[in-house]
Amino acid sequence: MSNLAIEVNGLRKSFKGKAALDGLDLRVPAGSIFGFLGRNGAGKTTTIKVLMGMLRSDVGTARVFGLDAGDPASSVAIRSRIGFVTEGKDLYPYMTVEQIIRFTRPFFPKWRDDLERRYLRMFDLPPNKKVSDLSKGMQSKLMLLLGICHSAELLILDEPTDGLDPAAVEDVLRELVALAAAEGTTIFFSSHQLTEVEQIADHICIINRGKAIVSGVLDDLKARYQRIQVVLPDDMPAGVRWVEGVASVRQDRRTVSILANGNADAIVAQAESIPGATVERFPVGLKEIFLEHVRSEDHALV
Amino acid sequence: MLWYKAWRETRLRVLLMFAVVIFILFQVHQHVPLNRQNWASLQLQFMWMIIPLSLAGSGVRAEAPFRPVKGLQGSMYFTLSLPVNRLRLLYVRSAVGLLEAAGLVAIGCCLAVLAFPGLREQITMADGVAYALTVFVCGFSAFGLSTILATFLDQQWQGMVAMATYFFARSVTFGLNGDPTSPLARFDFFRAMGTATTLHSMPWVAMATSAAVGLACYLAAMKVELSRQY
Repeated sequence: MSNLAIEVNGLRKSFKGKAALDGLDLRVPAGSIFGFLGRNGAGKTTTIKVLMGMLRSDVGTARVFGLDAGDPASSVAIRSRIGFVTEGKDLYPYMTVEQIIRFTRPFFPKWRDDLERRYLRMFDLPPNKKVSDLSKGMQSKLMLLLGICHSAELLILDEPTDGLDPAAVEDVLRELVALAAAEGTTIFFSSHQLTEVEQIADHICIINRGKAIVSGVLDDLKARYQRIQVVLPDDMPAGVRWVEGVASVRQDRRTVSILANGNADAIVAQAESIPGATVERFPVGLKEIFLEHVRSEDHALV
Repeated sequence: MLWYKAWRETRLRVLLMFAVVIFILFQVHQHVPLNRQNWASLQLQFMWMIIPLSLAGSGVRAEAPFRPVKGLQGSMYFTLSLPVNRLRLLYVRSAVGLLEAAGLVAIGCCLAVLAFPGLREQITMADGVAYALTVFVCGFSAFGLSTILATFLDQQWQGMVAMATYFFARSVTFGLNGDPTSPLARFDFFRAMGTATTLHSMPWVAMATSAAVGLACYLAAMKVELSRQY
């Protein structure tokens, strides 16, 4: 049996001739906290909609728990095992918090009353207040509660912390990590907030123009990428050809900044071979990896 | 729970339509001497209630925001994330819409008889039931039409376009088929709704025609709903 919660192969989807997904490949290991990153319009929400059976792909396959997300019958089975927080966080405005919980519960036989009580308390959700009277942040929390309490094996969260204040963001992130650890729930979340992703994700995928451009275990990626700064005594010698592994080079007068994608030792050795050069290496954050890849993709296209 | 949700989403509309029924009856009570000949044409008004009501049969598209605004999606995606197949969503909303329409037609007919004592002497209870059934089945075409329109039109256009299409069809039918002795007249379900039917003179052909039109539209709506992408 596959230990992948989500497996996407060569997914393509166009809207009016414009490609939203352009051969996306994605593997989300079961039990992981998976950060799905990309700019606006990169294809994150389209991917999620395909996984939820709301959109059909033009080409390629999307499987969740080994089931075909494009098949209507399988899609119902998939959705019974998924907790979903939509991008807009819109619920039925005319229902109260209690009513919407009572509405949602019968669809999921494994509903957990203990979790319901816990999150109602933790998120400070007033049971008798109408959804339309809740702030955006409170609506996000309510949606998260509805997604979590039915013992979902997979949580798909589209920008889950949008509209939350910093304290609430911390609460939510902490709960997601606790949920993954305690229940083995796979958490797949899309976000613009790179610091949040870096804080809790163990796997990431960066998507740009409908394609995965970086994917893997976050720690491995951070170990592979390094910033190497070279300060030269004079101008850079002409015609330097860097060894393999240089993702990008920026030069500001006598300072050269190199982003290494693997092979950092060889790059450092090459830099040190330049007479009088001072070489330092720094760890790289997710933000830098993200920006570097997205920008270089865009430059390549230009 | 989907039944409860559909009722919650349409109950205001039902109350409004009920108020319209009362208003029409009141107006007629004030100005028109109702008798066996003209009471059916009054009831015809109730047919129009079926159109907005039957928007309850429009499926999840009705939950999209009234105007598409960035960042505002309506509750549509939450509903679609429930482990329910799309046809069930459509069936439940349709069933609730039909029940509401049936209820209002029945209430309208009963109130007409109650409000006009003279009419009670001329119309039997059986005639009233026969007429209510006629209006309900002949109005099923409007239900089918508005359901199919609602599967691909945005919320703000659904009622208006359904109403305009139905009114246009009524005018065309009347133009083509003004002569009640015409062989086509018995297919005319608009005319059937305006005729004082009794248990012994049910317009079965017109009712079957309306049911067929409504069913065809409804099947088309199901097909659209199944193939729809959100």
